[in-house]
Amino acid sequence: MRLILADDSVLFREGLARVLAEVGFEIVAQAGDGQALLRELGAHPAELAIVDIRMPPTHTVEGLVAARQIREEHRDVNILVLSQYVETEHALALLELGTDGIGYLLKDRVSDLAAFADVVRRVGDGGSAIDPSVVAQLVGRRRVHDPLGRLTGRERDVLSLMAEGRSNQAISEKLYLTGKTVESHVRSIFMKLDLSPVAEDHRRVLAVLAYLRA
Amino acid sequence: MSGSVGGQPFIPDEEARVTVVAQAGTAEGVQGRGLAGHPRAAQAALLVAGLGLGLALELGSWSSYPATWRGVVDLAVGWAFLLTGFLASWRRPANRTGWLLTATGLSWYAGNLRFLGNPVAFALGAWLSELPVAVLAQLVFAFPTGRLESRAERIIVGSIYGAILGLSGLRTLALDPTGQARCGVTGGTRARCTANAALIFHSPAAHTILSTLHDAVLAALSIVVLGMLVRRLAKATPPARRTLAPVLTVGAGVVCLFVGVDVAGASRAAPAVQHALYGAAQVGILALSFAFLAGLLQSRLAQMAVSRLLLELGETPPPGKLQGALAVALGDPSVQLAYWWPDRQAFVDLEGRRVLLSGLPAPLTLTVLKRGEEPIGALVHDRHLDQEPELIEAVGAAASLALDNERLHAQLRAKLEEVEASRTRIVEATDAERRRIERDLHDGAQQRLVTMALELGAVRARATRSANPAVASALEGLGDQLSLALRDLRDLARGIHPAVLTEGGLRPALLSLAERSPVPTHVAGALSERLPATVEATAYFIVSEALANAAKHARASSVTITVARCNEHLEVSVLDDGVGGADPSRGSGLCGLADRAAAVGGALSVASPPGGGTQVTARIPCD
Repeated sequence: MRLILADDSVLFREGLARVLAEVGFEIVAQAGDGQALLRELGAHPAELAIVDIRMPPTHTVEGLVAARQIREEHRDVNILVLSQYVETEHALALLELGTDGIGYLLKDRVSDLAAFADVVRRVGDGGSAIDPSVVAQLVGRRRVHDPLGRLTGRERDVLSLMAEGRSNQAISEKLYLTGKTVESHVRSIFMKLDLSPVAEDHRRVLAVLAYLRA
Repeated sequence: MSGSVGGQPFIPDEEARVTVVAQAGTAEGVQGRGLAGHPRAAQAALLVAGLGLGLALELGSWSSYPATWRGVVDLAVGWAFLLTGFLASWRRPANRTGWLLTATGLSWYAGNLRFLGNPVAFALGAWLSELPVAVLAQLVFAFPTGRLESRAERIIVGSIYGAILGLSGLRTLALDPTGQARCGVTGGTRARCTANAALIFHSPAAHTILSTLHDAVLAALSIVVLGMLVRRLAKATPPARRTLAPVLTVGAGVVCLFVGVDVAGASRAAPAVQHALYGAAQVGILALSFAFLAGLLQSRLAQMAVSRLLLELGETPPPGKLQGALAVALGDPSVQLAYWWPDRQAFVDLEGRRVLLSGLPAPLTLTVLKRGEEPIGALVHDRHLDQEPELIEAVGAAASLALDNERLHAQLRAKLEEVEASRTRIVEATDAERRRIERDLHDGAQQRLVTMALELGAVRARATRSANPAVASALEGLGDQLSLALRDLRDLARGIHPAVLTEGGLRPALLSLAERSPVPTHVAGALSERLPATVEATAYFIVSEALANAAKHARASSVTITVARCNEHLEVSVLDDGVGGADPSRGSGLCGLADRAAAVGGALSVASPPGGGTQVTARIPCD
């Protein structure tokens, strides 16, 4: 899989490129800011762009801006945004660009290389990935009348994995459940939360996140 | 400063050079001007000489008057001018009005030369008999400064002199008093007629023509003068009008009477009518001399103004009242006051702002009020008040206590403004510093630790691949430690200044706070626009502190954060349903936040009845 990296910290970028190359990814180009990233994308076609959210010139949300531009100019390039802080706001802003081929991850996740490579592959293949800490924060959020209280423990686990953007198959593997059991959990969750069922795996991530946020 | 009439003379200006035009206290310097060294003695001598000359000329021509009262009135008019001229010069040495009054008085008796029985004196008297009218006209137009200020005034006064000296002169050349029943004098005469030394045209017809021409031209000039006087009165500023009113009113009356005399003479009206009109005009002129004096010496009213001012000010007038009271006392609504600030060597207004006193617009001028040598303030006022230095001096002295009071007030205001501004700057600087620290952490320590975590992960993967479980497990432990360190650092950075506040603004930052709050928290109110960084940060930290309090002390089951912008203010409130009874003066957290809100011009209020929840509300100006 061909990747392009954008981060203003050269040390981190080079390290990430080396580590990802070691596990079999092809790094076609690197960039220090959003504009350079778009230039490199024009010259070096890639399946996935891994983008730091905070880059020059303003050091705020250049990564989100770049993601928006990539979606407009290079439909086929998937995007994984990394950040040292995760904010629900940013996750939702990214998912508004379309839920396929979108990922939003805490930068720390690079320390678990296997899991990180897994997410890179997933998003690179057009799936979605939302950082578990975003989901945990939303699921664990205190509510006055908590509709999540109606869910069983298992259902909550399934809900969290759905919110992270995982497919039914990934959920069944992760929780050691059969595909049929996962499907029935999903149906039950949608019913209990009064959500209209969404067929595709990665479309439902937005529905679930928006629900949790409200 | 308020109550400005003549535009806005005060221009607050930090960099202004303040030009001080000292006028109070210069009267002594001006007094040296009259006759070398002894102006007052010279004035007195001139008065005595003038009175004597007038008496002599009147007595010498006494027989020419048709009635005794005419002679008495004639003498009295001249004397009145000599006397008022003397008084005016005495009281206002710098003002030429006194000299013009004296000149009027002296010229008054020129007409009497005609009746001394000497043909040369007759010619001279006939020629100059109307000179006082021209001097009077000059006096009226030059009043109260004693100078003709405009071109139009110089032209009309010049024309009057020209007409009177020229046409009277021509008429005199054809005047043969011996051939006339009344010796060519209005109102007739009981005396014999003298020969005219200047008689050249022995033609009564020529005399009639020249007389008619003379009368017509003077009548026309009189009408122009009347119009100009009315216009001048209408356009005058209130202090100017106060000075001008008696003179111009009496003056206009006199001009009317002289027009009447001319018309009556030209239309050959009954002698009784001419007689009465002439007498009335004479009395009018006499009154005029006193009107001049009254107008000039109005500062006699200063005492009245001062007692009224003292009454108005009371013992401790509230700040800002003095200017209005001075305007009333001086009868000048354009009065404005500036205060001397010794530390800054500058004049300031009531707000303590530096004011520019140079380049005042036309009708205004400046008087520096002093105590001893030290200035205490400056008074901007109508130029016409310069004619009443005693008034300004007395009013200034009476007001000096109140002036000091207001001056201290102005200084206090200025210092307060400085302190407020510096407090705001300190908060802004603190915010900027917090943002900088957060960014340094992000770009420095956090980035390095993340890179380290990345490398550690890679090493761990290699160790796992090379089947070295002891090393892999040790590395995993290190990795976990590193993750915890990163999390702590992230929380620390968020506490210093949340990145979401910088990049997304107040509402996303509040939503993020609410999501993390251990008490169920709802954010209400729409706020999409960005506000100044200091305003956003102040609101954020207040909400953050209030939320922490609700979680720690209030035993609340829910919290509502409301944020709204109304007009020029941002209003945020945090309402919980907890036990209430919070005392904002005890918890240093809220106390500090109240200070912070105040530092940016806002206010923090806490309502926390026991058992009734707690509401913390901050109102922060957005501009």
